Amino acid sequence: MKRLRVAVAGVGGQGRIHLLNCLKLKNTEVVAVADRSKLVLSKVSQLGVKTYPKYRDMISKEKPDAVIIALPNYLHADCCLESSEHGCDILVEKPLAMNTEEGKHVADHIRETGVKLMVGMSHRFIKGCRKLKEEIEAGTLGHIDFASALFFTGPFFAGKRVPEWMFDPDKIGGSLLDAGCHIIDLLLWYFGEPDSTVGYTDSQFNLGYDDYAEVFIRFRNGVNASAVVSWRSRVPCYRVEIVGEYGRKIALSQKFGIFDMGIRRGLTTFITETISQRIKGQPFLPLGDYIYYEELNYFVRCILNDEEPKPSVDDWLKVSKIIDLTYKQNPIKERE
Amino acid sequence: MKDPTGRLVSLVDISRHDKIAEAIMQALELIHFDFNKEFKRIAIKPNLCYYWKSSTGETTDPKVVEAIIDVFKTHSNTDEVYIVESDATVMRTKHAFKMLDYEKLALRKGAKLINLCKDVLLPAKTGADTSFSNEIKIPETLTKVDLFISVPKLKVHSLTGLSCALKNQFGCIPIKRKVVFHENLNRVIAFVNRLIIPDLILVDGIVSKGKTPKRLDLIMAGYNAVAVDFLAAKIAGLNPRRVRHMVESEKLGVGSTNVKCVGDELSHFINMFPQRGFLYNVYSKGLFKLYSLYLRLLTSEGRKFGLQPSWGG
Repeated sequence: MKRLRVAVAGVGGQGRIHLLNCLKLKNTEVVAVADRSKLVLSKVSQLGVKTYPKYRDMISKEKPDAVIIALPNYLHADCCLESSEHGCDILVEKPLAMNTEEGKHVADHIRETGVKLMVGMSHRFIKGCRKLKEEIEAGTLGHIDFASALFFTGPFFAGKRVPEWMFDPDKIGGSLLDAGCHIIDLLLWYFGEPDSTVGYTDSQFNLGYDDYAEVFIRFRNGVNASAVVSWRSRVPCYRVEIVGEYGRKIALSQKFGIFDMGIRRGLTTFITETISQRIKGQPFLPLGDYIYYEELNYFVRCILNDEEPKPSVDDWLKVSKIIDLTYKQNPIKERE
Repeated sequence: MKDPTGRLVSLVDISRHDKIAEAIMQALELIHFDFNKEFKRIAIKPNLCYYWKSSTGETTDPKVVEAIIDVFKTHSNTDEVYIVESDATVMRTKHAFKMLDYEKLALRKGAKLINLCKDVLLPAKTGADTSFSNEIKIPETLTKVDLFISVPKLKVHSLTGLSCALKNQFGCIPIKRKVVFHENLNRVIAFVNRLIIPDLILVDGIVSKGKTPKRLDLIMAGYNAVAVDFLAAKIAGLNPRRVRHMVESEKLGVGSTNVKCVGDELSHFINMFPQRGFLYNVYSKGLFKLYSLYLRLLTSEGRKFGLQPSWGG
């Protein structure tokens, strides 16, 4: 069996999940991992994986087939350029770049070098969201009039230690760029080309970036949609709703496991997922991380079969344009 | 101060007042606080456990701290105000001050924000023979002020049952990785309370957190942390005898649970508090433990990496 030689740049929160999934997949071989933290590298080296403190060194020395980029947001574009320079295919965590201009620069480079790039829009792999896509394509709700996506999440709700870069607006971007891109991408995936957009952002945390944002999009096919993202919530919340001529459908994410489903439903999900994973012989992953496994599996399949993975860099640029426009319309002001 | 026994604890419903400062004044009058004495330098220690706003019921409302500053500037000729907090395992004070509007408050009121972890640290002089007695130092700022006011939040806590005046002092330990004390949490809280003693306690119970956050509109005032926590436990529907850090504190001589409650009716706040039911506790804690067990024992990744439950985007 042909195996994809993969390197992982950044093994913080998201990178760790990708690394674990890479180790689980039969058609991948983890050649190296790069991270700044010595503690993380010492843990990874116990798995027999080569480690590097700098991703540039890792890419140039190991020359992997593909690089998974899960670095802090502001380093994504640079690492993409470095990887494509060495002919590596790329799975990059969202956001691809901090703004559209930077994104375009990456896109040009990707086209020149001919490597494949997929942006890690993991929400496309949420079961409920995929089902909504099928419903829309099958036309079971008739013409869709309205869609809304709500994503209340962020680095602060769980009470965990937040890395220093997440407090820096130049390094994280904001809630709309970091988390809102997921639901905007989802809406664009569902309904195609946007016609017009208007947005609103707000900042209560005084960090110089938005912690709440709303974006309204009118699509060329007549669908009106709204996307709301917030980092203020103490409890995560995820909900995508589409309303058409024949009723409405709602997708609730299982991504957050027991907490987003409510306690009772969560317990059921917990048990059924565990059992189904066992029966189907699927890897026994911690609950909530399955969508990343699906995402990685899809990426690896595309690369091995020489197919173009989606969402591509062009898909990202569409999302990025909407985000940039919203930020332009609403420069961050601190509240009195 | 005219209550040397520290028995008095006042409860004031702020919805009966136009301003929080008025409610604080009434709460202080009820415990016979002596404003004739001048307090040139005061230190205020809010509870900023994380970056959550006061509306979540987790952190002290900056409006309460602002009202306290106003009261003391007006009645005690206070010149210097220090708002103090120390870093915690998952919280950095500089970010908490910024995100929770304390920076703006300090600017408005001319107060100084102090991270106790960066303060000059003095060795603690105690006869206690514990493993942690040498590790815990006293921040110099707290020894130099004329009045040290603790402004805890009234809330329930997953580890200690109750978080109020006694638990707020735990935040005075000038060590980032306070998680190392979690093993002996109740004893450490009692120990710190014997070491760093607030002169006055003003509890922010405007929004309190039980099962959910809820608006109680309560201000409590007292001199003794054990006495204040005794009433706080009653309000939160907890048996004070089962709040272990309170029992340990009483044993160490921090204070007494012989309390005299003055002001508004205690029963009013007990009825208002969103108490956690027995089933809720069993159910939520049970689920969390089940999931931890699932991660640690049943998944191979969990065993390798010691995974903890994590939910996030």
